[in-house]
Amino acid sequence: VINSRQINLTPTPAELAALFGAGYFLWFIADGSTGIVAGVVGVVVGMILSRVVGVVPGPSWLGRQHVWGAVAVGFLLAMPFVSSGGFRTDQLATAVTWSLIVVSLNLLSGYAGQVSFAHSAFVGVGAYAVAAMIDSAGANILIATLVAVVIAASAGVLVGVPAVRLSGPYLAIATAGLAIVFPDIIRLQELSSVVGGPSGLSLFQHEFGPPVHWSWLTTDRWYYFLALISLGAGSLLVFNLVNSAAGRAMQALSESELAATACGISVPLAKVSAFSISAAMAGFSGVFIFILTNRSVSPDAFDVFLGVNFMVAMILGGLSSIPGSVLGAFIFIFFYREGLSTITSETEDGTNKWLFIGSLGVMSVLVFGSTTVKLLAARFEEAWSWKFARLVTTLLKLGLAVSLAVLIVIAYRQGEGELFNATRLRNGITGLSLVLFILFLPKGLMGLLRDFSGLTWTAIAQGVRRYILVDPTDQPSDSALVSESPGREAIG
Amino acid sequence: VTQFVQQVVTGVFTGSLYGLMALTFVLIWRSSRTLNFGQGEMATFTTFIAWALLLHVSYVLAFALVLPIAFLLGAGLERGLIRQLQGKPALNALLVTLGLFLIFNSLSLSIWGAETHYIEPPVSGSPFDIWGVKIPKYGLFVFGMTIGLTALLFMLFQFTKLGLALRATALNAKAAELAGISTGSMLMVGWGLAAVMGAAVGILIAPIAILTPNMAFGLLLLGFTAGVLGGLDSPGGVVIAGCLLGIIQNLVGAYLDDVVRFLQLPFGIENPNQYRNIVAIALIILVLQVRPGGLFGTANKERA
Repeated sequence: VINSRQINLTPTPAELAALFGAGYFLWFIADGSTGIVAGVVGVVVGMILSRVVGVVPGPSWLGRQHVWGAVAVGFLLAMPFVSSGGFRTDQLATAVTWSLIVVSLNLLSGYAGQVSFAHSAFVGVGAYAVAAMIDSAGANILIATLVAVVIAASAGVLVGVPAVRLSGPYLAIATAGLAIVFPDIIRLQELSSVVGGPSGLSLFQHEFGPPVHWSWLTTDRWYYFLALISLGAGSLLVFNLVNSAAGRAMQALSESELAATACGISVPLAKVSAFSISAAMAGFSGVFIFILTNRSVSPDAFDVFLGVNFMVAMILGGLSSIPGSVLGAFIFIFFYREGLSTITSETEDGTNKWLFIGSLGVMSVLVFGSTTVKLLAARFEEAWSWKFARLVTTLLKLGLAVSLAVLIVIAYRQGEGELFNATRLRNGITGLSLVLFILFLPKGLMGLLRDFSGLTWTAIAQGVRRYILVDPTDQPSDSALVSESPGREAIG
Repeated sequence: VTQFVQQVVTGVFTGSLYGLMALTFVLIWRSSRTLNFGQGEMATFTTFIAWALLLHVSYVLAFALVLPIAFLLGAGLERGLIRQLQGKPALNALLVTLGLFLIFNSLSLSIWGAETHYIEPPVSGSPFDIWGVKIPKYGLFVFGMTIGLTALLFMLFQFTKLGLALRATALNAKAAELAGISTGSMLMVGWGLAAVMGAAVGILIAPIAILTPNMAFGLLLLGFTAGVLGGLDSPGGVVIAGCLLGIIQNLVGAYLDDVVRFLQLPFGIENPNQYRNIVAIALIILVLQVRPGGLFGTANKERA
């Protein structure tokens, strides 16, 4: 669709800034940084490259879904053996568990369209149920987990039944309220004999190692593979569910409950079952993070931010998408959580800090800069002559990139822990990306990838141009598409 | 009886703040048909600004300076952010305000830190004593400010041209636009006013609660509760509901133990104050079951 004449090879200032950032990154990666950061860099570099080599077609197998699926599964299976073990494997297990939680959240909030901030509470119910049973009754963990799943499912029913009459913002209020209140309930003195009050329960005296003694199967890897198998089973469950009659009934809820009723769907049944299945999965996942990996539960672990973070991970990956859930969870754990704390932990040479600052700068310029300027440019062109408008736009872009860089440097120099403290800013960065994603990529990363489904270089270039690097003054590809099929817009 | 009246009076005082908070939700709900989850955190942020100003200027001046700042903040957010989401699914705007929640919480945290700050109440001294009922001076001040602000808002809506335009926009944006009202600016003003009210709540509640970046979690919940009780499109309703909520909370704090003992339930309540927020969420769910549009609100009629 694009031919070489239509592509403007002169980079805009925003792209130059991005290129600079990418080069900066590569230098640090050569210096030995984590692979996830390298991946982020790869994406940025790929975006730049695709801009430059936009006319080169890529191999067709890149577009096949199962190829990517196989790559992803291979990656997940190999990771605990490739990574440096111990702590890193724990992180991986956490990411896999988060994936499962986000899959369950996606069933409820994505497919069935029921906003739930209360997933932190469901996870908490599961984790606390197991912890309490082991702590006070010395129950077998397997049985305790089974019972906990039932308890979490009942919690889902308990929330789902009142939710039948609620929708939209009112449901959001009710679930947000539950998320706020859940730690308060756990802290109640009346319950402290069972759940341990404000200090929670710890299970450090218990061991949940692998049942067989193979040298390669360390405890960390055992937890990881357990979580991975659960994720596989959970994904399969949700995948089959949403492709069944019951699942389609749930999906009908997200469009219009009235229409669903008119189609003969029992809205209460669909809603309550969505809540209970989702809650059961979330409660089950709670066992992995809090019982196996952390071996302790406390009310503070289940604050509002946890539920909000699940939501953010879901949005990052993409609504109503199982692979998107996994992608979102991994990015959340490794970029927003671990990435940000790595930065604070290594302050002597400050390399990691710069890495982070650079990536933030590049992303803001790419995503925010170009698009805002694009909006402004359209205004300018209405008001002034085309040439003058273009000059102003270019100056604006340049000014934006420079001022952003200056701001970041000032924040860094000022800070040294005061103004610029990555741990304290973590929620803000999460929130900022949530806002940016909703504004510019509402379908999430999976939606972005799906739009690249052809995955030839041309398609990537086209997508990148449309999403991020759009230059207000040249938009060649769309007109070509429309002229091929004139009735397309009208029918769609 | 004295104790009962005492609880009711202090309940009304704190409850009026919940009502004011709920009023901010009403303002935004009426203008943009969305909820602002970031409202509480924005209030905390502006309260911190007030705290910083108080190091240099008097209470009245700080109060007066913060309100325009808050207005610009709210109006700017509407113009720069929420406006972009018009015509998109309602969930998008909701999630963006969730992002605001995170952003403002972390801004307050990274600028002012997690330690507690104090705002001295402008009026202090021993409480008035009327037939044994103690009326704290600051509580009375808060109540007076709330009533004053609500009255000001009411007058703005009822007796000015701007208020008429605001009401028209809330009632029917298309028709208002045809009548020559710039609905866009009205939405902006709505958000700005909401931020002003939020800022006022933050400053007023800071001496009672403790000023930390997480001050507003409870406030958000209680504001929502008052909003739901009163109905998100009923400004008068939410103020009354806020006062009711304050009273209920205080009565729960004072009498839950007695109720449990009276009913001879098999457990005792050791610290009834723990139940304040839980009662709020229970109220939300109960009221929404009976009247999904709030006690004084109109139910949302859906057409397919």
